[in-house]
Amino acid sequence: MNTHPYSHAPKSSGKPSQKSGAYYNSKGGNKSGVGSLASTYGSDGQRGAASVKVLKRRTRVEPEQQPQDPDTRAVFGVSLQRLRDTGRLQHGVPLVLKNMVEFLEKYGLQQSGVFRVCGSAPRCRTLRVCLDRGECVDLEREDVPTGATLLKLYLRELPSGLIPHTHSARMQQALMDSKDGTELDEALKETLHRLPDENYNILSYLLHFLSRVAAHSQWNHMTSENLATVFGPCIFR
Amino acid sequence: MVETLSIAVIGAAGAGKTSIIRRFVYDDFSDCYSPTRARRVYRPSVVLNGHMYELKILDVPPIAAFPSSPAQEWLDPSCRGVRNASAYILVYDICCVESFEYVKMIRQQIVDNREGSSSSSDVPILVVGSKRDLQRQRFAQRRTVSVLVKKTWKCGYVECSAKFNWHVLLLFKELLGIAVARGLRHNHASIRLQGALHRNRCSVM
Repeated sequence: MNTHPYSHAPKSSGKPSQKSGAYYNSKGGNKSGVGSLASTYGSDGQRGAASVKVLKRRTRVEPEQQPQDPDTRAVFGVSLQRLRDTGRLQHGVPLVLKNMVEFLEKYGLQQSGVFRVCGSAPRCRTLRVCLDRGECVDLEREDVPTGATLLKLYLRELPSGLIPHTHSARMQQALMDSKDGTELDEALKETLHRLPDENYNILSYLLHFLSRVAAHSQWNHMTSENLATVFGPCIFR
Repeated sequence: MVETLSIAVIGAAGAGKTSIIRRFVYDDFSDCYSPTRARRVYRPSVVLNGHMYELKILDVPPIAAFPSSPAQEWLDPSCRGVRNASAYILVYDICCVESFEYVKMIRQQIVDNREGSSSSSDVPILVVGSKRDLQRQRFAQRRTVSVLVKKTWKCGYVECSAKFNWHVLLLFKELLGIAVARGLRHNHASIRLQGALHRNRCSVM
């Protein structure tokens, strides 16, 4: 039995380069080929990350362009305190986060490897720009991996992270100092309660959603450990 | 391998949810009634047919409606985790028609809610008539209710009495049997192994 947490994806035996070559032969003239390939790839839940195809065109990773003037409508990279002050939290949760969670809850729970499978980077960038301009984005038209990547991007872009450095350092300290499990739990609990109200609230919202994802792990293969691997770098700073 | 099965116990106020759970988990019973205000989680471990399971029993205080969206579930702390449950016990008082109406409503909402997601639509629901010891004051014949629940709703039906510890064990055994048969066989081997190495529970939040 293979015990690696990510090993559940069926290994592809074909040659990926050959496959993608065939793809370009058939659809070479299509300008929006990248996006459409990503969506066909995403809707196929049975194929895992092992069958990655290398896209040649338009996939260069560029540094994200920083907006010159801080737009009042921006969503990504805006501190939660600022969102609160401008009244863009609904029950303490940013509207954009709520939309993404509800979209993923609706379509993503059954998707194998949700949050692990990468969405299309160009689509994510476009969506991000649209959201930052304050435009209404219809997530229903996107595929699940793109939505999941966008959610992770949002968490990563939070200015001081969902759990800021001071808190995560304290948690690490607790991890080393504690003698047993109960003591550790108490220490971690106390640190989390010291988080700003907005952060705590959102963390609780997010974990509530992720527990729902984990409860469907028999279909999506994302158990709490796998989710922790994926979300750790997004939440801790 | 220890697998966790989460069971939500829902019912009208005073139907006997807490009594049934406490009889099952601690084998005790109290005659004085104290309403459950906040959601409580019990985590007994049980052995069924030679396999060990860890149960996560949610004692849900009476809720106005079954949460239909993640936001709704999250906003009311007493509902949290209710939609994730892998089985439901709906408790009604055999002497109280209103509590049966409540169960009827909740069952419909569970079915409506789970309909969208194909794989979880056949979640096991067990309807439990409590307070069997007050048999004489019941509002309908056992047979009538049982036929309605089993034939029309396609749910399991058990009557029990927490006071005299009658059929309490049976009802959990019945539910577990169905849940295990329906839910756990799809699990991938590597995930089962993960579950065996780390218990899927949160002790912090």
